[in-house]
Amino acid sequence: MKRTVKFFDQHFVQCFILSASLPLMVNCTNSGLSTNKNMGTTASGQSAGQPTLTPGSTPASGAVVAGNGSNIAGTGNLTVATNGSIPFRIANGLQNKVSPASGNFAKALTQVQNNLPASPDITKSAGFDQLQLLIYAACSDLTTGGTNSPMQSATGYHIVASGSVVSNQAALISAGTSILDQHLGGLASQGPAAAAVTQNLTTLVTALSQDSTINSQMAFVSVCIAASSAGFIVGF
Amino acid sequence: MMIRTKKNHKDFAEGPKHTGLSRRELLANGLMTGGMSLLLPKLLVADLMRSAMAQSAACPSPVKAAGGIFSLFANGGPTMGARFLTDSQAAVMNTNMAANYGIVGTSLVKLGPNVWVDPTSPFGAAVLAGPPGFAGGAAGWQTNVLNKLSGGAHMGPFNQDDGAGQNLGNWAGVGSFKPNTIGKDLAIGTSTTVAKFASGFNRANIRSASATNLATSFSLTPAATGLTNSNALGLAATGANNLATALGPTFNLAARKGASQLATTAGCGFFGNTALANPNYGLSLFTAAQIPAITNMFSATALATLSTAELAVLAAANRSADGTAGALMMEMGGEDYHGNSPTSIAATDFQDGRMFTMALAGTVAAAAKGAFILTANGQAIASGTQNVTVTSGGTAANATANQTLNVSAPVATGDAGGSYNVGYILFYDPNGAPPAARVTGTLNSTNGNVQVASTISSTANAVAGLYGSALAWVSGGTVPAGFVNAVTAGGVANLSTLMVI
Repeated sequence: MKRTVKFFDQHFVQCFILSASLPLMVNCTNSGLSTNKNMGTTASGQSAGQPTLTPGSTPASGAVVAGNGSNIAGTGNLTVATNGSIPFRIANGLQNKVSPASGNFAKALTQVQNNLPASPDITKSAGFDQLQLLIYAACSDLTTGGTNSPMQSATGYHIVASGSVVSNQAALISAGTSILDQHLGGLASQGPAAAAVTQNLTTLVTALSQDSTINSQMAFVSVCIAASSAGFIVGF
Repeated sequence: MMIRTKKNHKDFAEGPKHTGLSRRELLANGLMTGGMSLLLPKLLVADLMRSAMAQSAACPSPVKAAGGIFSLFANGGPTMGARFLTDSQAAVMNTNMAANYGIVGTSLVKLGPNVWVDPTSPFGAAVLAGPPGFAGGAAGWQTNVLNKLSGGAHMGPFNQDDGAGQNLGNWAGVGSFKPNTIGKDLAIGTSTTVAKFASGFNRANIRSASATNLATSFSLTPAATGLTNSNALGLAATGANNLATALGPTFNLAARKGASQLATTAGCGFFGNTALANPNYGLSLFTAAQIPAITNMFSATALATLSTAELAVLAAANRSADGTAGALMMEMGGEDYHGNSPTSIAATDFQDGRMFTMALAGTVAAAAKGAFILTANGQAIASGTQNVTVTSGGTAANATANQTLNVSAPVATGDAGGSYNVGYILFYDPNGAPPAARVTGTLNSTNGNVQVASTISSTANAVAGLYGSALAWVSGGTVPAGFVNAVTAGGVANLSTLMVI
């Protein structure tokens, strides 16, 4: 019997070796090598080159995405909001139901305004931790006014202060989504990551509900902080 | 299994030329193989990069790296020659030089291996007296603390005469390059521009030195009660980061320069706020009477003699030294001595000496290494001294405990082209082995003028070298690479040549 070593067998071995170092990029089949039709993406659809953020999904084809042209030197840079604009962006995220000129928001702004990012260049800016403190103050203003407060009112976020966190779960998730939408032009609820946004807000509210020391008002403030902060991180 | 068969020359002559590989097979399989051989390197590199960058934002664990860094920037142009002196200055001190510096100059006292002060000067008197209540008094302070100091300096007019210009970047910081639990420096009263290389360092700006002002930077407004707690803030931080992660692809953050840095910087900063839900957190950090390391060294009676600012510096320097904070930077305004009265000058020099003393005492309380930087944006020449009295800044309620001293204050006259300017750095080692530090610049042994070294051609160079030296000392001898990179990005090259240790 003559030696018969089929070509695809040779390549299957080669492919097998390669696939160990190139997972998901190469399909090893008896017909030889073929590239994954989603080459450049992972099996779950994660976009290539994602840095520290865990990828979710690729933008829809043809979608206008921030940062286009980033491969060209000098463009696509992230520009962070600075101390002059941050208060107004926080207020906008909260549908201008708070004002940097009044309430806790104003008091906190007096305290932290010198610590907020002063440079739009992320490599030269400091004070992002202070941003969260300012957001906290702004969110706290949403709770004032009893049933007429933005937190509770029908024209606001519909949180029933006397109810449990669990009973307010839907309203809390809706509030977080709404705040994110304000920051991101509606892409939190309408964009490709809408399901992931809901899922993450659900996870947050669930975690809050598991701490018996956290009531609905505190949960709302937490959701408000999380959504507003996230709006800044991705929307700077 | 491979079966070996005996072959003759015909087998080799007539056998298949391509070992069973037909043109169709080549197209079907080999073409892809060839393509992959070209694509593979690129794909492999891309995958490796993706793997390296696909990690979620990981916040470094809070680390308390002991070692205090303190800097005092005298804004305006004081008589720097009336503060610390180097070996070379002390060795050739004469009447003419002493008059130009604004000191008597006849009874210099040596601190450690190479640092001197004039005990009759306001600054020297404050340094030698030590903090009230220190064990053994001034003698104990000198033996157990001052003798463990060494000094280095960049001398000469790296900037010009008194009031040589504002916003020259005479102060900087170390941020998180000295690992610390709050992840930032403390900057008290800094109204001028920070050195360019430090512009991105995390810092809390405190308007003026008081425990309350320091605590305010580490507290929540409004108070947390009924609105949040540590767990709720932590969950909010987690939620913010998770939401940002989920939305990242929508905004193509992967391709946006700086996005990952923002996610890490902001996200990790949020987590650092969880402690602030405790309304006593800030005060417990910066109230001297609540810091065991300080109360172990000073009695309540002794602490009561200190001014609000002195207590704040004592506590904040201790927090820098014990690794809670990065560096502590202070800017002292109104220090253009040109035309000021000797009484006014004495009060300011004495105050600065006390601030240095409090920073040193806070470091001693932490039993940690320390580095102390003194800079100015100019220098006023003097024409001798005038006897005046100065009083320490004790509280009104404890006025009787205030120290009143007779001193010889500089009589500042005017500009001298910055010839006496200097950026000092003193190193403290609790074990009594401070580093051998060098002094740059060429001293004129007749009048005390100093020609600046060619490498210290700018304020930026001098400041970078001093802070680099401080960081190296408290970090065990090596400057963290991130700090070096920041200095380089800030336009200062060859940091190691600018350092004094």
